[in-house]
Parts: sequence; structure tokens; C-alpha cells
Amino acid sequence: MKDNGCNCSPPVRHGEARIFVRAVTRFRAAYLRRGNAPSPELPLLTLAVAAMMASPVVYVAVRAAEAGGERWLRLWNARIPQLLWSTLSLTAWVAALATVLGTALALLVERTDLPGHRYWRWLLAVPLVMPPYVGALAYIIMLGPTGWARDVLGRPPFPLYSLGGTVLVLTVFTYPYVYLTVASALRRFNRNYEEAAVSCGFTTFQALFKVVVPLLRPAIGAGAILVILYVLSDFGAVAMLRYDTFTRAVYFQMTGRFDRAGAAVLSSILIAITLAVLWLEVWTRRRGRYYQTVGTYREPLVIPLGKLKLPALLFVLVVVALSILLPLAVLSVWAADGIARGVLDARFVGYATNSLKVALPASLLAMALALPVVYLKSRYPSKFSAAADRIIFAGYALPGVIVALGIIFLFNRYLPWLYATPGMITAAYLIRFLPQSMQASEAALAQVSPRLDEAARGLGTPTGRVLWGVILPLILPGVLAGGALVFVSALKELPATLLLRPAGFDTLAVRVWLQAHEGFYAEASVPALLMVLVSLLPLKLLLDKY
Amino acid sequence: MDAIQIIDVTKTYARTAKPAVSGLSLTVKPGEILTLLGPSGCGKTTTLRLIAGFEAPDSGCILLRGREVAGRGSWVPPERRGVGMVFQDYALFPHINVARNVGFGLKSKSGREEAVKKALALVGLEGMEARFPGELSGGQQQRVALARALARNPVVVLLDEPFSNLDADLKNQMRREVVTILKEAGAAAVLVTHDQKDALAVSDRIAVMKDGRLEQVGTPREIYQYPDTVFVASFVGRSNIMEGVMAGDGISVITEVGTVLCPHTHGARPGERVMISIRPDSFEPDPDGRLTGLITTTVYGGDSVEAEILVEVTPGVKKTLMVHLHPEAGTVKGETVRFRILPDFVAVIRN
Repeated sequence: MKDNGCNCSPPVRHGEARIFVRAVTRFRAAYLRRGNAPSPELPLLTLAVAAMMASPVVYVAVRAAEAGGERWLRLWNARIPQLLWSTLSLTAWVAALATVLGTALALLVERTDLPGHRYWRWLLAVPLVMPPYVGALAYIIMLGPTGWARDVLGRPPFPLYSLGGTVLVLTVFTYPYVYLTVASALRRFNRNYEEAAVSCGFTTFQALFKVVVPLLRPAIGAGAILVILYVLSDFGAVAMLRYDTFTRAVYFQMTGRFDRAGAAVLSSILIAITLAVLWLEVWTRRRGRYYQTVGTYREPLVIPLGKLKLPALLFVLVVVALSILLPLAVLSVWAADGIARGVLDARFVGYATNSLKVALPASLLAMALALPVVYLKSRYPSKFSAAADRIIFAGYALPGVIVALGIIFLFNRYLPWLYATPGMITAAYLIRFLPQSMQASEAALAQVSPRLDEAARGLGTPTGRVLWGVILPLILPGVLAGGALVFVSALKELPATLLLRPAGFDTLAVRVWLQAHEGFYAEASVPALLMVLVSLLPLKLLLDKY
Repeated sequence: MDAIQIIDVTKTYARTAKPAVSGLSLTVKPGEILTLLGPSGCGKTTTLRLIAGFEAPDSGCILLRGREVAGRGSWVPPERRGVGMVFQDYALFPHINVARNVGFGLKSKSGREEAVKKALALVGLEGMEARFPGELSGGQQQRVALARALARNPVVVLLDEPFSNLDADLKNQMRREVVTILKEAGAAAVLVTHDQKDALAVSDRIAVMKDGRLEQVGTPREIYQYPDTVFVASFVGRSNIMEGVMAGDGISVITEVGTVLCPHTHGARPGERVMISIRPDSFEPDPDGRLTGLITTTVYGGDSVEAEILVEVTPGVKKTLMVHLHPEAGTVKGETVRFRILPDFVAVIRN
């Protein structure tokens, strides 16, 4: 055998290759003989996707374990207790306030004679498209140490860079998670329960609290868990508001101290917290979503607000103002200023192009990879497909800084030729947002009877081709919707982009961050406003999810 | 050669203890319409899916026109079995029109148009080629589904609860049409239903299933007139079931309501204790009849009246019998009637 000058394993001899191929063929035949199994490509692809989704996080945990007791001890003494306290108190406050706010708004909009509730219904969901770091930017412009409020009042009304300020900003941008889940549950609510309560002598208003709210508990809980996961993973808003949480600490451990092992240690604690919340989610879901009652739909009972009508209207208006109108107005004013100063130049086009370069491939790949996974889960449900599903969604819940850290580790070691290329950013987007594409495809697939698959097979279509030839055309709108959601999420993604971008590779999100950091609000507002406007386009798709 | 041979097939679903189908053997002859009849959970749909190839048997084997498609070491996937299937909800592809639905399984372009035309003519839907499934009525959708199943000249057509989604009027019409179409196409067909009326109306033979096992296979007349088992007697139609002893002549049974002539003995020997099924149709009002009873309830059914009659079998011992009476014979609750038992709808049955 010739020495080819590298230390790779000797080339496989032809005989061995043939034996291997024969073994694979035999295994495939034996597998197919088991009966009506999915074609083996489906579970293999699913396995690969699940492995891809889990590997960065697992690798971060491994690196944390390898970090050494001394480093753990140092971080434990110096940072961790304080970080735990600040992260958990922020999460608890935001979750509590967003839950109350979201539930109250859902009840008002869906069940009372609040004037204009048809408009509020979707207006209240709009904050979902506003990345909280853009919201934070708007609030810094308004209430920051050098903001408008200071110019008017002489000093800021309250310190924005504080727990209270951060809670305010995160709450007004995360309450839609609770609002949407609760509103959707209310819309499916079986009116008979309420009528039963009324026939027992309660007023409609009393029945609301006696029957409706208790039955809504699972929906409220589901929304609250989404808020908790969001706050735990948020980096942009807390970093801009200079509030210390785990994500911000991980970021600075990596970028400021160049201590990746330390970052891994901090990350592993955040991973543990996130997994605990996810476990809580599974646990609550297992207790049954009894609000999903069947029955013919009837218009729900409408509660007259009476004298409370005006205060209720004011309340909704204040929320809409704080979460949409004011931030958008502030951004628009500054963006106009920025455009007048010539921000929209060739370099800006370059940033937008960079954003497209990483977000588009992520969205296309997310659509392609979601299909086999979702199809396997829907048509051949098994312990395997359920476990893969769970793993993929766990990857989704994890903060972008941790995904980025894991990707740095993995690419550094195993894919050095892709290291420091935009490909790393696309990989991070894929890991962070693939489940959005899966959810959309899954919802579309659920509308297609499995009998159609069987009809196609009965008519001579092999398993592999059923998905492409028959099912895909039917679920294409759902698949594309999922792709659109991934696209806008990727467009707005900040932490992984910041950490993974090659030198000089600025995207729109990165520009918002950099310019805001320097206090160039006009320059930051232009890309921020552009991202928000683009994200508004698929809002309808987002709302259909709930 | 038989169109379908099922030999000792057993299938247990994962995570269930009881087999869905157990030790099932059944053959379907070419051109024959066989109905699998039974209550829900009896394994009839599983049997259909086993033939189609959507499930694989744990043991036993299945042959389609002599070719083994499932069995020890062999497996032909559904797409290569040449089976046409009509689904309960029809499963028409909603995104393509009628012509493309019917032609879906025809791989080669040549002759496709002709085959689609032929299939549509067979089901009486000429001119509907460009319609989409959503624009068709239930009966039309079913005909398209049938045309699609027949377009490939399948070895066998499988129909899953074909009439359950149709209203009563259409049901009657489609029963007749489906039989005509299948007979014209000359295809063997296996049909699954839980509705005995479907089964009696369309089948050449009926296979009654219970708990994954075959209870009885026979022509509709055999099944109805001479049920083999208590289950068949009570599931297909209604019946009076009672105990008795075979009389010495070997063709009659001594029961509490007297000696009943019963030529269909299933080989029971004189003196043996047996069960006997007497259909309500076996009773004929007769002023000289042996049995006298009091009408306790009547249910008017249009073409006949189903009455319950309290008969005093021996002094002090009374028994309720279910009897079909002609609606014209003035039947009033509280009236006393005399009648006799005809041997036409009487059979010795197993438990």
C-alpha cells in the first residue's frame, strides 16, 4: 500500500467495501420485511437532525464538566449565586406580570363588550414581532439616562438600568405569549360549562372566575412557561439594559475574558435551569389540556363591562402604547433622522445582504430538514420519534449564547474548514429555529389524513415518493409558512450572530447592537425599524399557530 | 387460482396483549365479493390492512393470486401488491382533479387517458374529469374512489366501510351500484362493514368475525338462515336462542317450546344437548298452531312488525319469543295469537 502522506486510515479495500455494502443491503431488506415500516431514510434523517440539534448543548455540558474543580469553585464563589438571584428574580417578575397582563387582556378582548375588540385582537399580538433588544433600544431612547424623559423632566423618572426597568421592558414585549395561548383557549371554550354555572345561580361575571379561569389554567401555564423560557434565553434586551443575567455573563466570559471553559460552566447552570422548566412544561401538559373540549361552536357569552368600559379601554390603550405605539414612534422618528443623514448607503445594503446570506439558507434548510422528522412523527409515531421530537424542541428552548458557544467548540474541533465562516451562523439559526418550521409543517400535516398516504401507496407509490409526490404539495403552504417564520426569527437573532460572525461580517441585527452600544440611536433605528417591518409580514402566520 | 389466500395469520399490535387477528384462514375466489362482518374491534379492518400491506402479520402468510406477499421471509410492500383500495373517507387527493385522481396509479403515459376514461365510464362519471374532489357529492366521491381503485386492473379491490358515510337513500343505491360495478370489472373484492344489512345485500359470501377469529363463512342466506354460533345468530339479524336436546330422529330438537324441526343440525347426534336459533321469521301465525302467546310489545317496522310474545311453555313457566308478523295481520298489544314454527330459519348453533 502506498503511503499517501497523511495520517488518515488506510483506504478500504474493495472486498471490504463490498462486504459492507452487502451488509447494509441485507440489513435494509430485513428491516423492510418487518412489515409496514417507514423507509429507513426517515428514521436515519431524524436521528441525524436530533443529533445535530443536541450536539452543541451536550458539548457545552461536556466542556463544563472538563473545566476543572478549581474553576467551578472560583465561579461558584464569585459569580454564580448573584447570577442565580438576578436571573431568577427577573424571570419570576416578568413571568408573573406577563401572565396577569396577558390573561386579563385575553379575557377583555375575547369575552367582554370592549369597544373595538376586533382590532385589539391582533394589535395586542404585534409586540411578538418586536425583538426585545429593539424594544430596549426604544426604551433607552425614551427613558434612559440621556433619554427624552430627562430632557423634559430634568432627570429620568426612574432608573431604567435596573431590575424594575428590565422587568418593564421584557413584560411589555413578552405578554403576547400568554395573551395568545389564553385567547386561543377561550375561543375554543365550550360554552356549556358557563351555562351550567349560570344555571346554578351564578352571574356571567361570577362564572368567569368560578369556571372559566380555573379551566384556563393549563393555557395560562403554557403561556407563562413560554415567557419564562424567553426571559431565560434573552440576551439582547438584558445586555442593552445592563442587567446581569446568565446569558450576559456567558457572553462576557467569552468575549471579554476569552474564558470559554468558564463560559461553559456558567452555561451548564443555565442549561440545567432551562431543562427543569422544560420538564415542568411536559409535566403540566401530561396533566391534561382539559380546555380543549369538543362540541359544536357557539358564540361565547359576552360580559357587559358597564361602568368599567372606559377604564378597561384605557388599560388596553396603555398596553398597546407601551408595547407598540411608543416604541414604533420613537424608532420611526430616529430612523427618519438617520435616513436624512444618509444611513441608507451602500454599506447598509451590504448589511442587509449579509442578513439574507445567513437567514435565507437557514430558512430553506429548516423547511427541508423539518419534513422527514415531522413526517416520521406523524405517520409512524414511536418512542424513537417522540424522543427525537423532545430533543429537538429542547434545543429550541436553549439560549442563543449557549448554542453559539457549543458551535464554536464543535466547529473548532471537527469542522475547522467552516470555522469563522457565515456557515456557523446559519448552523446556529437552524438549531435555534428549526422547531418553528417543524410546528408549521406538523400543523399542516395534521390536516392531511394518513389514508391519503395509504391510498398513494396502494396505487403503487413507494414510501419515499409518497412524501415528495403526494404529501408535500398538500402541505406546501404550511411548510412555506414555517420557512417564513424561521426567516424572520433568523433576521432578528442577535446573540449567536454576534458571537459567531466572522470579523467584519455585520448583519442588520449586529448593526442595531453596535450602534446602540455607541449611543448612535439614529443609525441603530434604521436597521431596527426595517427588521420590525419585515417581521410584520408573516405575523398572520404566527397568529395562526395559536 | 384463488384471488386471496390467508393462511393461519396472526397479528398483535404493539403494546396490546390480545391479538387483533388470530389464526385466521380465508380464501377469496376470483370475481367474488366477500364481506368481513363484525362489531368494532373484531379485527376485520386489520384483516383488510393486512391484505393491503399496511400491516404485516406476525405469523402465517398471505397469497395474492398465488404469489406470497407476506409470510415467513417474504414481504411485498403495498405499492407492489396490485391491490386497489377504497377508503372509508375515500382519501381522494384534494389537490388534483378527478381524472388525475383516477389516473394516479397509472405510471406509464400511454393508455392512461383511455384507462381513466374506461374507469370513469364504469362508475358512470363521464364528463366529470375536470372536477375536484371537493366539488363532488358523497356518492360521486365514492365512485371516483372506486374508479381509482379499479383503474389499475387490480388483483383484488378492498373496500373499508364503503357505505358508512352515506345517508340511507344513497346507501341503498350505492349498494346496488357497487355490486354492479365490481361484477362488471370482474375484480375480486373484500369489503369491511359492521352493518349486517350492507353485508347481506352485497356479498357473495360473508365472513363473520369476533375477537380476531372467524366465526362463520358462508353465503348471506347460509349466514342468516343457518348461523353456526350464538354470536352469528345474534349479530346478524335477531334470533330466539334456546337450549334443547337432539331428538331421536336426528332432525329435530326438543326444546321448552316443543319439538322443533331442524334439518340443519351441524352433525349433532341424538340425545346431545344443543343450542338452537329460531329466527323471528320462522314463526307463522296459524289458528291450528301449537304455540299460544300474548302479544306484549310491538315495534312497527314498515314491512313487518316485530312483536314480543309471551308464551306459556309449561303450566306456570313463561317465555318471551321474538316474532315477525305481517303488518296487515292486525296485531294489537294484549291480543292472543296462535302460531307454528317453520323449519326454514332454524339451526343448531355452537356457543
